[in-house]
Parts: sequence; structure tokens; C-alpha cells
Amino acid sequence: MIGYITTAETAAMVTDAIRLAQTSRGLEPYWILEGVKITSGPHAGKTFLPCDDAVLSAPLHRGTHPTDYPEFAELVAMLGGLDARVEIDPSEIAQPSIEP
Amino acid sequence: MILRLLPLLLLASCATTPPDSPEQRLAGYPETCLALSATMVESLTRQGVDAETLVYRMVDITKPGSDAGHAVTVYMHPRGQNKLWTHDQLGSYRVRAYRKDPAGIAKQSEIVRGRTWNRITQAQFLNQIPNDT
Repeated sequence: MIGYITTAETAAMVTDAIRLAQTSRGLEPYWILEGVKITSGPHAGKTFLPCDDAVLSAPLHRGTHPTDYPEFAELVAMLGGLDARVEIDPSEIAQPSIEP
Repeated sequence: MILRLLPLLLLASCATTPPDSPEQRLAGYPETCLALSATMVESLTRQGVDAETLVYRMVDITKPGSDAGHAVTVYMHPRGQNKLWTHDQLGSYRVRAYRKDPAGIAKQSEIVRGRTWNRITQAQFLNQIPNDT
């Protein structure tokens, strides 16, 4: 999984900013991006914010994509830019207490 | 044992989805969507949010014989409002479907993600899949 390792607070701020980008345009929130707690591995305790190419091209209102919105570019820049993304193993976000 | 493995069997063909699709990147992690959903359900439930995992199978109508599986987290947010969301690796999309209609939610989940070519063949909430215990 490709994305950013960040804090829960920063991830929540990104989620709120994406929601605001829609409501400020008079749109009902339709798409948001949430952080997921990392439960194991070297980043345990941090929050993972998915941001792979599929997220960048996620379909939004009227054929648009996240990268079409300047607010999204600002958020990516705040997180360190696309080059700051890392890849983590999905097992790092799995809850060990839950058996699929 | 077969029933216990059913959720994984539903997802087993994540790796067989067509090239160039978003799922292709999951080929190495066929259980990513299920692990992600399990984590989200636990996190949301702790916050008092009504959430559960929906697993489903689908076929690509443009590719005869295709077969794929996926899992999303279905949740109501904000609390007290009749707004239904589905979450996976692409983030959360609001869907318009009945909370207790797994097939309808699965169908809308694919449509809002732009995968209009997929037809749902099976959909079930994970906690409603019987186990052998």
C-alpha cells in the first residue's frame, strides 16, 4: 500500500480539508480520504494515509479527479509531495485481534 | 472449515482482475481490502459508528469469464443521519442504497468508483457469513 505515514491529527486534518473542498463548492460530501492506524511494524502507532495512483485518479464529481482540485495539490505538498510517499505492507494495518 | 474460509474465497480472485485496473496494484496483496476493512470496522465501531464489512464478487461484462472479489467497509456517518458510505483503498464514497441491502450497496460501491462495467454476482456482510464453530 502506497501513501503517507503521518499522525492521526494530520490525517484528520486532511480528511476535513477534503470534505471542506466539497462543501465550499456547495456540494454534498461525496468522497473523503481517511487515515488508517498502523498497528505493527516500524511505524506502529502512526497513521497511514493511502495515496497511490488509484487514489490520485479516484473518480469524483462530474468526471473530475482529486488532482483536478488545487486544495488536494496543497495537501499533497503539505505531506511532502508525491515523492515522500512510502509503501507499507498491508499486514501493518491489520488488526491482529480480528480474524478475517 | 469451508465456511470459515468463505470470505477469503470471495476475495481470492482479486489478483485475477484485468490489467490496468486499480485492483491490479493489489495483485500482490489479495487480502488487502479485507485487512483494511477489518481495521476500519474496528476503528469506526470504537467511535460508536455503525460499520461492518461487505464482501462481494463481480464479473466484468466486457470480459467474458472474468471473476473478481472485493471488500468494502459500509458505515453510516454522521451518526443520526441516513448517510451511507463505503470505504476501501480509494477512500470513502457516499452511496445511495439501503443499509441492509448488500447487493444494492455493492452495486453502488462499484458505480461510484467508476467501475460501471462490473456486475455484482454475490454480496454479503461478513458478519452474516456463517462459520462452523
